[in-house]
Amino acid sequence: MVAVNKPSLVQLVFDTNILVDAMLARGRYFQYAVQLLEEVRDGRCEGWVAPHCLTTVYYLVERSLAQETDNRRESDRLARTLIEDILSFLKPLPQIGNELTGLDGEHGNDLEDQLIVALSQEYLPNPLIVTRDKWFLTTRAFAAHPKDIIEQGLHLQNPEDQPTAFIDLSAQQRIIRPALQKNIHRVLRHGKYIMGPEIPELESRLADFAGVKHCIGCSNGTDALLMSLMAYGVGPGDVIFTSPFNFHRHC
Amino acid sequence: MKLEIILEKGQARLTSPVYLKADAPHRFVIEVSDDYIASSSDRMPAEFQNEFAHQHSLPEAKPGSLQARFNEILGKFAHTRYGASIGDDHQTLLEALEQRYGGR
Repeated sequence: MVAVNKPSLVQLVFDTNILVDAMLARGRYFQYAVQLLEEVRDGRCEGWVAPHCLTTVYYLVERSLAQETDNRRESDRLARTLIEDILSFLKPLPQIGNELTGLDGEHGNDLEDQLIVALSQEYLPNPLIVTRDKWFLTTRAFAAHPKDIIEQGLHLQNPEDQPTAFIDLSAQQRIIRPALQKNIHRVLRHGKYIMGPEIPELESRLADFAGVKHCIGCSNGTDALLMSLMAYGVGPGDVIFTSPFNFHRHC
Repeated sequence: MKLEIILEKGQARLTSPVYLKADAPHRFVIEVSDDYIASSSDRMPAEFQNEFAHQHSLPEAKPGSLQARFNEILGKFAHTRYGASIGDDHQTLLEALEQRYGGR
């Protein structure tokens, strides 16, 4: 099943323990964890995970399964498959490294938890950490137990009666954030910021999408209009009819 | 040298730190009489025992649900399990890391 992945007002950030509970049907509340993940899978709300949690999830799931089989390859394969499966609908939070600086170093808490908080606050407008961990639940207003989230519908609420933005680019970005970030880093890696390999790729894909022979990239909309007019041989004295629903500088 | 160890919440802890030489073994065995070992049901609060009566059963799943997907992936390993505290998970993680990287 393919997730719709529409932006939601609250972004759920799943803690390690909740993912392991769900995957292994573990403890009293695993159904709530599974239900929340299912809400994400089915596109009813956004779900995120801090990348550094995934290795811990792997170790905990693999170790638990390994206690039930002598075949460590099997437990390894199952743990990886479960993680791969949830990553088909959970988005990894961006993590570029400098989130580590400026952490408050609160006593009694580990770096992993602090990073979850830092990443959630850095990259999401209204994060809600899904956790059973009392440190989160007692020290963070934006953390809740999966049972409370389901029973109170916290994941579907508007946290502060926020008005719907007319143009909400950040919500739009969150839908494609992992792919966007991956491609930004690809450009940074090869360093060809002008006329790089992404340009012919985009031109080719847009031409296919529009069903035309050629698609030419240019630097702005004015150039696009000018190039089109030049291609048609439009010159002084010719009349151009255009839509009034346009950006005024183009006209 | 005799060392004092406190057994608490399922874990052994030295009462004071002891530092070993680089070439010293890092695994030691302590012996505890079986008479003192609690079963999992002994450790579980009474109010939880009824809830866990169905342990090791296949999690209920509607067709197409995420639980059904997990059950499908896990196959014979798809069953309900006892809960684990955050501390339990931390201990499990340390053991897993030691097993994977111990001796490197």
